[in-house]
Amino acid sequence: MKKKLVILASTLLLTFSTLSNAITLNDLQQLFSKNQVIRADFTQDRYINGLTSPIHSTGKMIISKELGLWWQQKTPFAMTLKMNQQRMEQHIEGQAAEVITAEKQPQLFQFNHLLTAIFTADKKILETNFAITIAEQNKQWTVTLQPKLAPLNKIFKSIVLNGKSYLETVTINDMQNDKTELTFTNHKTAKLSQDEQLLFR
Amino acid sequence: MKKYLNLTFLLLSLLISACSSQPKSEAWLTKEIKVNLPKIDLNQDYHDQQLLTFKYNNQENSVITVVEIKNNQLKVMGLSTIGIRLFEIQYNGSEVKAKQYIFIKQFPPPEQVLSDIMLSILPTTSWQNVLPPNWQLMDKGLFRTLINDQKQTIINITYNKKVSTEIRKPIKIDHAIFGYQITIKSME
Repeated sequence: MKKKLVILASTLLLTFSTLSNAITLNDLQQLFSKNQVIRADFTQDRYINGLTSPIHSTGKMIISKELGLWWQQKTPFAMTLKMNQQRMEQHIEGQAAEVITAEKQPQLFQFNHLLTAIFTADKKILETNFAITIAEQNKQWTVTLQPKLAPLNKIFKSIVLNGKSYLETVTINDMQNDKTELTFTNHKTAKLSQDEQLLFR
Repeated sequence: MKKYLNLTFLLLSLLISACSSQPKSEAWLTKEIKVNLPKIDLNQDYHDQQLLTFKYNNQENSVITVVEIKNNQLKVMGLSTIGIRLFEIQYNGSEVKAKQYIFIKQFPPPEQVLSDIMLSILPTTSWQNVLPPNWQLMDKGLFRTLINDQKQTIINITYNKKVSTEIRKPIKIDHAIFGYQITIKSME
């Protein structure tokens, strides 16, 4: 894929020799959809306006095109989230799992589709909902999404995605001046093992 | 991703627009007994970040709370388990300011959370001034108990440390009258 990107970028450069932003949304869409599975470790810092220190959490996650998202927070308390197109489940250690379904909460799920679009860089949906700026330096790209439509523009100031071969950081700036910084490291793309498949159940 | 949920809850916060209220600085100890909240007169600041699990009618709900006392001003911020603002309460010793961003079913009103937190962290002497006649708030070992004039236990608070000059951080609050239990896990 990197090669493809380089070729694409070179072609673009040849075609428009003055163009500095070699990477396009199309390229990112391809890049994001390249892998069936992505595993990564994450750290999240949530800066709440008015609080002295951020809420820091860490864990690991798996995104599978087929099965959805599995997100396991390990610190500061154990919590697992599972999500696919039909169902969301949250499980805090020592408590019963909480299930939210598409039938019960259609709006939440409509919203999820939009967010899935962000992580798959779905061009059509993103362009409808956001003003998009893409910048690139040394193959490191930054995509800034500024919501154009309600309700997104009432919640977010901007969502900034950053990465190279994979999505590496996400910064969410919201209207209440809270900020979330997510960092993904240790990306792996091998096929899901049987044990891993069970995690999505 | 986790963000999906983050964002969906943010969407919820839009659907249920933030509402502000300025309740009096009062707390219900039972269904009939209401008291004024005591003034905060501490010679130390306090900070705790905790996962608070509220259990009522066999249902459990968790929130993250951040409790800060600075110069005797108390601030409690409630966040969902994935970090979305739910409520914010400020108490300056005479006035409570509460802001609720998202309403959660099965969770006590912010003012109730505030009084439970104050019952747990203020010295018993602060409370003794505002309690009804013959009510008592007593520290014994790892426990603090609120007893009414009939010697019935109203609230029982558990700590993991014995009484000292440091403010103790509670790990469990049982409300015998309202029938709820709050378990508190420090996130620090």
